[in-house]
Amino acid sequence: MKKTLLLLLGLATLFFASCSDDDEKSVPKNVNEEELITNFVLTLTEEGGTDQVIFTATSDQGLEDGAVNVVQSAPLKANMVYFGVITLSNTDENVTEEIQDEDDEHQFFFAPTDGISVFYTDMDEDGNPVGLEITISTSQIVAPASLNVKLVHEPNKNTDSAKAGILDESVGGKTELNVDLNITDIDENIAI
Amino acid sequence: MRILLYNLFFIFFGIFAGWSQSCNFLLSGIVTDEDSGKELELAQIYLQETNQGVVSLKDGSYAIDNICKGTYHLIISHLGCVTQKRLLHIDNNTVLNISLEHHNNKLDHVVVTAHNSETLQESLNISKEKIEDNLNESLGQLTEKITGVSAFKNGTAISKPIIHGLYGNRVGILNNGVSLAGQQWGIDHAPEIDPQAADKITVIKGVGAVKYPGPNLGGVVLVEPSPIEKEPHLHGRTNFFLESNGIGTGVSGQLQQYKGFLGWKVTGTLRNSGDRRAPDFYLNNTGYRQQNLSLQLQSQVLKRWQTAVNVSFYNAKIGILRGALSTLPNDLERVLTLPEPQFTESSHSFGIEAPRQEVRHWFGKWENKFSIGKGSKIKTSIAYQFNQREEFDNRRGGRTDNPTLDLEQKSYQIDGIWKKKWNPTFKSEIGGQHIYADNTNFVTDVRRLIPDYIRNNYGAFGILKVTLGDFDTEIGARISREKQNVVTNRPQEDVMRFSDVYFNTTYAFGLKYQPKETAYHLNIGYVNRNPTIDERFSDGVHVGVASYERGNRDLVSEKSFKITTGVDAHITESISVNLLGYYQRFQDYIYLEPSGLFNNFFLQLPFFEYQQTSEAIFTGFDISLGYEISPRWSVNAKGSYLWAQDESNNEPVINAPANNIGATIGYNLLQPVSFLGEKWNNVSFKLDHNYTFQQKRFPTLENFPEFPFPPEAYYVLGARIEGEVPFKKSNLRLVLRGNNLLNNSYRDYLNRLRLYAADEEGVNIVLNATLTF
Repeated sequence: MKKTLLLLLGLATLFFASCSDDDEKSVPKNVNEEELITNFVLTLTEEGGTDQVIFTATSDQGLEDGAVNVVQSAPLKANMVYFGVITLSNTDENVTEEIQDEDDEHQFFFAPTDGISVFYTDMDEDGNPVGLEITISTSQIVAPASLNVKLVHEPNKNTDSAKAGILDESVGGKTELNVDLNITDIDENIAI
Repeated sequence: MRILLYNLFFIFFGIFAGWSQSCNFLLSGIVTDEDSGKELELAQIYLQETNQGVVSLKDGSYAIDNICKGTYHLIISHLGCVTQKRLLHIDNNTVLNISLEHHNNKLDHVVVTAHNSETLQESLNISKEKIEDNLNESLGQLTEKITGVSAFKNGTAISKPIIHGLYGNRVGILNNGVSLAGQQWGIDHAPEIDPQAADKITVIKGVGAVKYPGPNLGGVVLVEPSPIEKEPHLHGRTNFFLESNGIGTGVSGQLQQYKGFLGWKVTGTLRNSGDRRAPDFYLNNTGYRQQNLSLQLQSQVLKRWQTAVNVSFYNAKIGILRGALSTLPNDLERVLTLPEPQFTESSHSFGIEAPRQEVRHWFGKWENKFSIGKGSKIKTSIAYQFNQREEFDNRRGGRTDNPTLDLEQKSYQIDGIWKKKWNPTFKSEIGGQHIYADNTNFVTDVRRLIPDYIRNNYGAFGILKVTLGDFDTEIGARISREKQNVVTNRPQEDVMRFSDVYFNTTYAFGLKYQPKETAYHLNIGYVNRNPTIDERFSDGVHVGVASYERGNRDLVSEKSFKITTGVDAHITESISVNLLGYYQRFQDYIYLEPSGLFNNFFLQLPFFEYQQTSEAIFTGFDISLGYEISPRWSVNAKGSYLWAQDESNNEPVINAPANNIGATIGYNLLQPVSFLGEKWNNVSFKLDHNYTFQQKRFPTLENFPEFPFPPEAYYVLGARIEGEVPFKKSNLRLVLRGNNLLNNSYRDYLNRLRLYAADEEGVNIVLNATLTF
């Protein structure tokens, strides 16, 4: 019996001597979500002129759910052709450059309301559109107008839909940016 | 030097045998069937060294006389049984009783009812031979063959066992008696275990296995190597497989020897596969590579002290279906109804790109057993595990080669157990464990799915076993205290610390009544389980399951009561039945609910959130029937039924496995046959039918109406031919199997990649060869 007790005592010691349980983890490093796109800028320059309309969308959480605050710098003129350039960034990264480097794996898709047309004016090494540079025609624009912009990573760029700038199931891929540009300020008093 | 030693060894024995000249010893005994305990007639008993052989008589008895003093290999074989080889020292008249295990168990060709002396809980096991015959399969795929056990899958290469509808943190996986670390990371993490290093895999279908750490509400899977036999000659086996689906190949080898004071066993396994194929398309990026190595050492240091060391390393690279990571915003419904996954290509590839998992797991254990007399035994062990897990996803800006999840976990477990046999009636066992786990993330510039944490768990248990005539009973209890120290640092959030302490209890009662061959079981258990770290703190993209998962900090401990009752009956000589019914009631049942869509910078993903319901019921039964129509023909049938209900919301519980039935028809060639100029033994053919019903009991998901309803019922046909042939002095065992022979297209409810249009594998022809020497 004595032996047994000793044994139990031994077991208990082994068991509880192991360690204290108040160990705390040190604070882990901050996560810098590099791939987050927090700033979207669409700069539109009038054909044959220097007037610009700049659309800016920013969100610390990333621009992927469409409904974000958009700032429009000047009225968008009706019956006008604009050259557009898209730049993307987050706090540390120039995302535009990353997309230029991998332009065969990326494509912007534009879904405007009636009266606005969007054309691609750039292409990747395979001759497929990218969308960092575009042309926009506002000939038939009517208020309220809007333009939805999506950036898709790894779409199937060789499908007819993708070549035509239509995002459908044949294109696939994953969406990395989704912005609804509500065009609140339209100058309709431009004569043709 | 070594050869010299061998020679000396044999010369010594030769001289010894020559000197003694006592060649009048008698070896005798009785051969029985391990399952039924019946005496076996016509078993062949053969002494290899002297070529003396006899056949057992009607009462199972055998006798070989005029044996000289010496060391012999004894080979015992019987038609339809696993051939045994034993090493014997004969220096006196010796009685050796032998029990043989049937190849073709009446109940099931894969699984035999376990004779687990550790617990009275209903348990089933998979034998070494079946593990060797299925080299191409993972632990989850192996256990899935057991009635009442299914698999939670994440594509083709990742699966976890489900016991009676419960999985994940509720099913403890014990590798060599040690809780497998890293399993609290969510359900897409396959157990880091090489089944080939195990000699036995046991599934305990009850809550009352209090001996094993962790509140195991669903049951326990034990993966165990057996002790090294005291056999001074080098023995081993090598097995190999080749399969058509995925063009998978693999080889495994094992060597063992017990020489002098030291026994050793080494097992190494390599497995590879390229893209798997569903009947209509390739499942791109679903290949895997796996390398495992394990070493077991054992020594009888003193007469009463045995020590053993186990070390193993597991390394795996597992591809995840390429199409499992892409959805278009507001278009999930479309993806959920695609005919084939996105990015499906028309060619097979061995490449493994992102998304993929890379896992390394180191395991080390030192165990000591002391016999301290008067029926007392003490066992202590200390184990250390180190787990590294990296998950990769397709990322922008050349970051695809940087992991999105990079976790490291160090853990150790200390065990002490004291067993005592007080008298033939009473036995007791008490013990305790301490488990410590330290989990660290490395910065990946992606939100951490699992936070950094330290987990400390102290547990103690006691069991009393009473044997009275035909009755065996056991009562047991376990208490444990778990402390979780968690620290989170998430984007746009402050650093937060959480420290929580939980107390868990388990009570179990078991009763077994076995008047003759038929055994009746009753088990009752109550378990209290604390919510785990992943259930409370997950918050991020789970690459493995292509979903966003979020924990719930408000979860409280789960309470559960389970009653199981069963009968293992031999109704007649040729008919046997195994029936197990269960009823399990939960309070505060924790589950992962599809809760809509999550928009994140990666993409739009299905969003899953941990929830809790105040009452849930899981009830059902497992049944197996065996009928030996004639010595040649046999039929086995099995089925499992489960009804799982969320009582408080009055709707079915999500992810309850579908009911299924199966039947196997077997034909045995009783006589050896000649084929390719060789004489083949134990040749048999089997045809396997499995039918899985549609799970029609599915909850209404108010937040996620697009989530697809469980897929339709499916039927899968399999077949196998097996046989053995002597090869030099060894035994070569060949198995040719076909799975899904009709190449049926189907999806499985519990394969999470079904969301991304992943069908299950199509036809697969597997050739498996095992050479035992």
